[in-house]
Amino acid sequence: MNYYIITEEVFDTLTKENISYMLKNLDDTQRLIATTDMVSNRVRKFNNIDTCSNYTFTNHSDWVGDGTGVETWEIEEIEYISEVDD
Amino acid sequence: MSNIVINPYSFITSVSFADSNAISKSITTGTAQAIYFTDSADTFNFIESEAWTISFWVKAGWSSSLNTNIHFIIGQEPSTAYQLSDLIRIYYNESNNRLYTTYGNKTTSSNAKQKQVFWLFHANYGTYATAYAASGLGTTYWSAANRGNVGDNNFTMITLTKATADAASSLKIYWNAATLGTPTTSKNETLAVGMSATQNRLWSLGSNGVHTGNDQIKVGNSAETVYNDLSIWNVELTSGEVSELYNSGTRLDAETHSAESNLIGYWKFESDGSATVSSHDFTIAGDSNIASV
Repeated sequence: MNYYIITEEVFDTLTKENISYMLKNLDDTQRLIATTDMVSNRVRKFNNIDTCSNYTFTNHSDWVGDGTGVETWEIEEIEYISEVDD
Repeated sequence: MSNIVINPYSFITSVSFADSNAISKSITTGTAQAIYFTDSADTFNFIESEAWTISFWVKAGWSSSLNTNIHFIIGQEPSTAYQLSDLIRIYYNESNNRLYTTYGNKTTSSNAKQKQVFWLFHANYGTYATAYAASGLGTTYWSAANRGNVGDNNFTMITLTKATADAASSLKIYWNAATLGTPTTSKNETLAVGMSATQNRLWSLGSNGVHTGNDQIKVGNSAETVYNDLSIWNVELTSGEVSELYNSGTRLDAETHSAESNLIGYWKFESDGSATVSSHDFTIAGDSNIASV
C-alpha cells in the first residue's frame, strides 16, 4: 500500500477503485490517501502507515479538528467508497 | 411526576421518570477527561457467539468540521499494544457521515479478526435510503447544528443489537425506534482468536478508550456531547422492544421494560456515574460532568 498527500486536482485523475482510504483536509484542498497505485504528482509521500499517521498528529490543524490526528486503525478500517465519498 | 402508560408488549407497566440530568463528555481530549469503568466482574464480556444490546441517548455536540471519529461507547482490552483488541464499539465517522459498529479481536495491524458494518446517512438511494429516512439528517452531516430526528431535549436514542450468530449480518442499529436498515459490511473476518469471556474490558463513554500507550481519547470540538440513560442487555432486543424503550421519545425507566430480566447494566446519570443495575459505576474524570438535560 502507498500513502500520499495529493491535491484535489490530482485526486480527480486517480483510479478510485484502487483507493482504500481518503480523507480531505480541513480546507478541502488536499487529500490524504492510501492506494495500491504509484502516484508521482504528489504533495507528500509516506514510507508507511505509521509515518503517515504520525504526520497528521504533528500537523493536526490541517487535518483533524480536535487536536489529535488520524490513527493507523482509521486508515485501515474506514474504507473509501467512490460512489458516496466525493 | 411519573408518566404511566400500559406497555403493549407485556403486562408490565412501563414508567417514564423525571429525567433531569445526563452526562456531558468534555470536549478536551486525553485520559484525564474520560468517562469509564473496568468490568472486573466480567458482566459485559460478550463473545462472538452471544447476543446483546447496547442502548443510549446522545445529544450531538460536535462540529461538522471535526473531520474524525467520535466513539460513543467502547469496551476493549485495556493496556494492550493494539487498539482493536477484544472490543465492542459504536462510533460516528464524522468525516464520511457514517455510523460504524465493530466487534472482534484484532490484535495486530495485519491479522483479520473482526466484524464491522456501517450505515451511511446522506445518500437517499439503494440500501442507504432506510438510514437516510430514519435519521432525518437530510443531506447534511450529523452535528450539533443538525441533529435529525430527536426525542425529548434533542436527544437521539441509538440502540445496537447483535444476534447470536457470529456474522456481520447479526448487527443492527436503531435510530430512536426506527431501524437503520441493512448495513454495509466493512469487515466480516473469521475470529481466529475469539473474544475473551474473562477479559476485564474497559468501557468508555464518549471517547475511544482509556488505552495505555495510545492516549488518543477524543470526543471532538465545538461543544460538549451529552449522553444519557445507557442500558446493556444480554439479549438481542426486538424492534418492538426497542420501540418500547424509546417510549415515543421520553426516557423510559428501563427497569420497567418488558425485557427487564435481561437488563444487566443501566446507568441513568442523574447525579453521578453510579449504576442502577450493575456493580460497576462510571468514573467521571476532569471536566466531564453531570449536566442538566
